Amino acid sequence: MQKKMKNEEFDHYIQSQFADEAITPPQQIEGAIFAAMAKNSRRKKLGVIGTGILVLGALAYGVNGTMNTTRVVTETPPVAVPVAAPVAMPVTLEVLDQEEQPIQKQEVHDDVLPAAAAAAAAAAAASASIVLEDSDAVENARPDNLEAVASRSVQPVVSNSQELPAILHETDSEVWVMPATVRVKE
Amino acid sequence: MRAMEAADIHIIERCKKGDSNAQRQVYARYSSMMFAVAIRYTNARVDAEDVMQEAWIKVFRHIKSFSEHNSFEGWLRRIVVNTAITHYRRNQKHQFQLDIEEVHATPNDFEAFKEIDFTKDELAKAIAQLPKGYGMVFKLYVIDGFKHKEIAEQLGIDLNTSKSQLSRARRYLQDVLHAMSQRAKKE
Repeated sequence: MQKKMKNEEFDHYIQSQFADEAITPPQQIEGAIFAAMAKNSRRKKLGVIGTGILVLGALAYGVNGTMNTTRVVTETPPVAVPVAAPVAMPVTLEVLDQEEQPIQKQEVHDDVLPAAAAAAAAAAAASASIVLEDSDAVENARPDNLEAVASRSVQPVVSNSQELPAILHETDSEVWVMPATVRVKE
Repeated sequence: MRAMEAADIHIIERCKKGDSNAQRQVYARYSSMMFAVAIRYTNARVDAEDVMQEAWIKVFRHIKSFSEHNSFEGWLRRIVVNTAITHYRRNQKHQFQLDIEEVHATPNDFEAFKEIDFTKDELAKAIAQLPKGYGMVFKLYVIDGFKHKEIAEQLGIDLNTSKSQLSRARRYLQDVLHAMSQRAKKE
C-alpha cells in the first residue's frame, strides 16, 4: 500500500510537471502541413470529378442498356405476328397491281425457298387457293418469316383472335392483312 | 485541459467545413502543445517534426469525427501520441526487447529527492534517458493517462509486460533523478 502511494505520488509529480507543456514548432512545418492539405484537397476534388464521370458513364450505359432491353421486350411479343408482314404486305400490293398468274409459277420458287413453298402450300390448303403474283416478294422473304406465314395461315389462329393481346389487334397491318390478301378462286 | 468554449466550437465547426482560415487558427492555438508532445515521444526534433506534420493532417482529415462533448485538446493530444507511437513502432520495433535487458532494477527512493524542485527540462532529460521501451510505457501511462490495456494494444505487447515495464521505468527514473539531486547538492 505504501509502495502504491509512493508510485501514485511520483506519477502525480511527473504529470504535474508536464501539464502545460508547449514548444513552439518551426515555421516551415505550418507551410508543409497546409501544402500537404491543399494537395490532398486537389487530389480529392479530382477523385470526385473522376467518380462523377464514371457514374455518369455508367448511368448512360445503363440507360442505353435499359432502352435496348425495353425495345427487345416490346418487339418480342409481336414477333410471331409481324413475321407475316414481309410476305403479306408485298403480296397484297402486287396482287392488286398485277395480273393474276397461274399457281404453277410458285413452283419455280419452291426450289429456292422450300419453306416459302411450304408456307404457300399450307396457305393454299387452308384458303382453297392463293395467287402469288410477285416472285420478288417471295424471294425477298426470309425463311423464318415464311414459317410464320404457315402458322398464321391456320384458321384457328384467326378465329381465336379474341385471345390475342389487345396490342395485336391494334397492329392492323400484320394481324388482319393476311385474309385480305387471299383471293379465292371460284 | 481547457474547457470547450463557444468560440472554439465555432472554429471547429468551420474546420469541419474545410475552412482553411479556421484550420490555421486551430493550428496557431494548439501547435505548441502538439509539438511538445511529439518531442517528448521522439526525443528528436527532426522526428518530432515528422510526427507533428502527420498528426495535423490526421486532425484536419478526421475533424468531422470529433464530438464537441469531448475535450478538443485531449483529442488532439491523443492523435499526436498515437502518431508518435506509430512512428516509434515503425522505427524501433526491433529494439524493444533489448530494452528489457538494458535496465537494472534500482531501489525506490523517491523520498530522497522528492523535495528537490526539478525543472521541467531536467525531468524531460531524465525521462529521455529511459530505455525506449520503458520510456514509451512510462510516458503513455504517467503523463498521458493511458491504461495498461491501451498501452499493450498500442505497442503490441502483453498487458503484464506493460505493467512490469512501468514499474521498472519508475525505478529507473527515480534512480536517475536521485543521481541528479546528488549532483545538485554537491554543486
